[in-house]
Amino acid sequence: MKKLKNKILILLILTVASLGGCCARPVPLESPSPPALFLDHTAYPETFRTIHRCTLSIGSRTFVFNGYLKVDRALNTIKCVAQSDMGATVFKYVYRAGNLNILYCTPGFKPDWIKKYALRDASLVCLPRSSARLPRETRQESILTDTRLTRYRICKHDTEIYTATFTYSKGDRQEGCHGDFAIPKTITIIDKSLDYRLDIRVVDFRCIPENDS
Amino acid sequence: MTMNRCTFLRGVIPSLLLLFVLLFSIPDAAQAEAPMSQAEVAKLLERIEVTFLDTTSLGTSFEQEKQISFFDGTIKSTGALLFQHPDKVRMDSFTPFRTSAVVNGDTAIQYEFVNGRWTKLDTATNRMLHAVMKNIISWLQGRFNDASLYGVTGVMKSDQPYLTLTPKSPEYQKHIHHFELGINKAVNGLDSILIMLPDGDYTRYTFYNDRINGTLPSEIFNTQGKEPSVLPSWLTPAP
Repeated sequence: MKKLKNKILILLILTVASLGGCCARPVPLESPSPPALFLDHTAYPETFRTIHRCTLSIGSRTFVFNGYLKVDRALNTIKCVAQSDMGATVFKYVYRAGNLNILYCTPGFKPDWIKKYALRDASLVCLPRSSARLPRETRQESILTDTRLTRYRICKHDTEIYTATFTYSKGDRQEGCHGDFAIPKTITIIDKSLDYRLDIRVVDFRCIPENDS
Repeated sequence: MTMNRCTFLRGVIPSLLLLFVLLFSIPDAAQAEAPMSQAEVAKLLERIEVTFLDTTSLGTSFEQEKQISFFDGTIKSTGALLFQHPDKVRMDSFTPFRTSAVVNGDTAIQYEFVNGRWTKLDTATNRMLHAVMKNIISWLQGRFNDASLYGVTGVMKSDQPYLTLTPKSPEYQKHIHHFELGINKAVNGLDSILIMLPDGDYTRYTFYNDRINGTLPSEIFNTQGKEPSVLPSWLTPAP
């Protein structure tokens, strides 16, 4: 009887452990993943880490958190942690060449939101253009000013459904970077279909030498 | 001959390594952590509850250190924490960005400094902010001994007591591995708070320049303004 109880307990622990941190196994995303919102105009270094101060409004609700990202554009990889000011983790994931592995997400934050929004926006900001297709009847446009991407948008018919606006500060140099990179100071992403607005302030940006990435 | 040298080296290298370990562990040993007995912890908690309750106000600067597994090095930021008995607390960040979170009674509000001006946020996280700040108030008043919530252990490091609060609930443990509270030598305030997450990432607040039971202007806890009230100059960073 005791052995049976122990077995049930182990089974329970294993079940909970597999659920803990949302989902530990990589989740293959729908091809060609994630949404078709990649840019090829960002002049980013191949490998970098950055800290984003984020204010996210969905409908009438606003969330504030800090995003810590490490990116390898050649390997199509993003490692991301979002934390509250106090240091608690909101979510943590690794995206590597089409596979999303959600390592943690706090109660109240749906894992689906990471896939649909957090990764979508991080990919837009950080990764090179993919061969992803746009939804039907949509087209994308990029507006460059002085060779810098200042606006990106997706339109359905003639209506903007998704926009990303980039601003830059003059004379900024990024620590450890050798080259003329165009790193935005602020990024505002608006998804009109969802009443969704994400304001990002880039508070830190550092290139990572290839050997350290 | 070569074999003999190899055999010799095989014998000597571990001895040298052991010697190195011993040599370099001697200074550490002098500062080693000395675990406190449960009786000592209970006695310290009793003392803290008495001395911390004498704290009616607190203003302190802090440095926040954050360690994230895939980020090299430590991410640092600075700010200030203010407390007025019984239920007012404010936490400001100065660098690398400016924010202010204020709890005044049942109201919690957050301000962000964006594009040269303050914005008042009615955030969905205010309820969480309120809960966290209440927890901080509770600690500032020396109430660590919630036997239903945490297991408490203690160590002495360089004559300074540190208390570790480990959540008892398995559900809570999924989110917080433990808190470590550095008690100051006078045992009337906190020197540091470490928030250790289950995956090894952590955030540590180290407090300095603190003033206990000084006079704090009441308006600094105002939650009605469009922007946070200006902090006392001794807490604000040099321009």
